[in-house]
Amino acid sequence: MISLEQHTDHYFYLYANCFVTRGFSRSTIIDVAHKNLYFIDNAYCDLISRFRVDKIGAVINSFEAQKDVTYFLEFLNFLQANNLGTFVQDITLFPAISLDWDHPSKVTNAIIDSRNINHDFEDILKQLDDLGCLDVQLRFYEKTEISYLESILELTAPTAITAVQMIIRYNALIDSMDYHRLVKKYPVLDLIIVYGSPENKFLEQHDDVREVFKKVLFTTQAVDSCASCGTINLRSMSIPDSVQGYAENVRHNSCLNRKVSVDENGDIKNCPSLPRSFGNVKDTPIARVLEDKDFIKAWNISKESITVCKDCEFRNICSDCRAYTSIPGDILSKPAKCTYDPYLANFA
Amino acid sequence: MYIDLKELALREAAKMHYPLFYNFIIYNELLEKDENYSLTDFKKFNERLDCDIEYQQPSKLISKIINFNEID
Repeated sequence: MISLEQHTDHYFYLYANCFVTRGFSRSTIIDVAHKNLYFIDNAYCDLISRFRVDKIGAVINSFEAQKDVTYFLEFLNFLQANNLGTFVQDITLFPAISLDWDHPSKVTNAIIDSRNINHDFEDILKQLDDLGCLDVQLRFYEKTEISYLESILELTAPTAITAVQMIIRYNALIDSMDYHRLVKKYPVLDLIIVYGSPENKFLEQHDDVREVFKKVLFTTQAVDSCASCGTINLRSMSIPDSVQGYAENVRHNSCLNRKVSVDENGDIKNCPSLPRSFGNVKDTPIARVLEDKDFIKAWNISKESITVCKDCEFRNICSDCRAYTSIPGDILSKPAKCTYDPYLANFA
Repeated sequence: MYIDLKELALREAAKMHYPLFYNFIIYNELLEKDENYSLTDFKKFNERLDCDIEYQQPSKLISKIINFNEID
C-alpha cells in the first residue's frame, strides 16, 4: 500500500497513453499502450481531473471522512499497480498530450461492395492507391470463384495498399483449404470471412514470428446485403493501437473518417448503407468526391455530438454507425443496432 | 567470446531512405533464413513511393457487417 506521508507533496501523473472517458453511470480508463480497459466510478473520474491541479495532500485534505482517504489511497494503489500512472514532483513537466489528429493519406480505408456486377477493380484500386488508401474491404454478395478473388488480389501488387479483407458468400464447391492457400500466397490478404457457412470455424495459420493468427473465418451468419452492417456490441469495439488511433476516435467519426465506399451499383458513398450517392465510380473520380464538403462532413461527426453516445463510457473505443440510426433520418441519433444502454450500464 | 561480424547487404533503392551511416554500419552475423518464414514475405517494394511497404492489419474495424458475437 502507498505511504501517505511519502506522497502528500507529489502530484499523481496519469500516463499520456491512458485516457479517462466519463459516462453517465460509470467511467473508463483506456490504456492504449497495453490495450486495457478499466471501469471506475464517476467519483474517481472527478478525482482524476484534479490530479493536474492539486497535489495528493490537497486532494486528501478536501475529504471529510477518513474512509474516503482510505478509498483514495486504494485507488492510487490501483492506478500504480496497473501501470496507469506514477507520482511526480512537478506535473508541469508532463503536459497533456494533444489529441489533434491528421494522416498523410486522403483516404485510409475503403469498402467495395459487389453483386453480379463487374466493377473495374483495376481502376478503383488505382484511384484508392493514388489517394494513399491503406486498407480495403471487399464484400461480395454473390458466390465467387477463387480465381476471381485471385485476379483482384493481383491488382494490388503495384499499389501501396497494406491490407485487403474479403467477405464472401459460402460456396460448397470451394475447398476450405483453397482459402488458406490464397492467404498464404497473398500476404496483403489480411482476412477472409466466409458467411453463410454450415458451421462457425477458424482456419488457423501458424506463424512462429507473428504468433498464431486467424485469417480465414467461416460463419453461419447470413449476409444478403450491406443492410447486415452496423452491429455494435462489445466485439465491435476495439481499443486503438496508438494514441493517434484514440485521437482519431475522439476528434472524428470512428467509422467514416477518411473512408470511401463504392456500393454494389458503383455509387460512391461515405458508407454503402447510407442513401446519398456522390457520383458513380464509372464516371466520377473518387478524388473529385473528396472535394465535396458534404462528403467530408460525415468524417467529423464525433460521439460528443450524438445523442446517447455522448453519455456512453465506451464512446471513444466504439466504431459507431451513422447509416442505421435509432431515429431514421436523424444522423445524430444513437446507432439503431447498438444494444448498450449507458444509463443502465448494460447490454440488452 | 568471438562474434562474427558481417556487413548487411542493402538494396541500392532501400539505401536511399536510410541515414548515411547505414551504408557503413556493421551487423552481427545474420540468422539463417527460415524456410517456412521470411520477413520479406510481409513486405514489398513499391515503385511509385520508392520504398518498402509492410503488410499490416487494418488499424481499425473497416465495417461491422459480421457480428462476431454470433461466432464465439
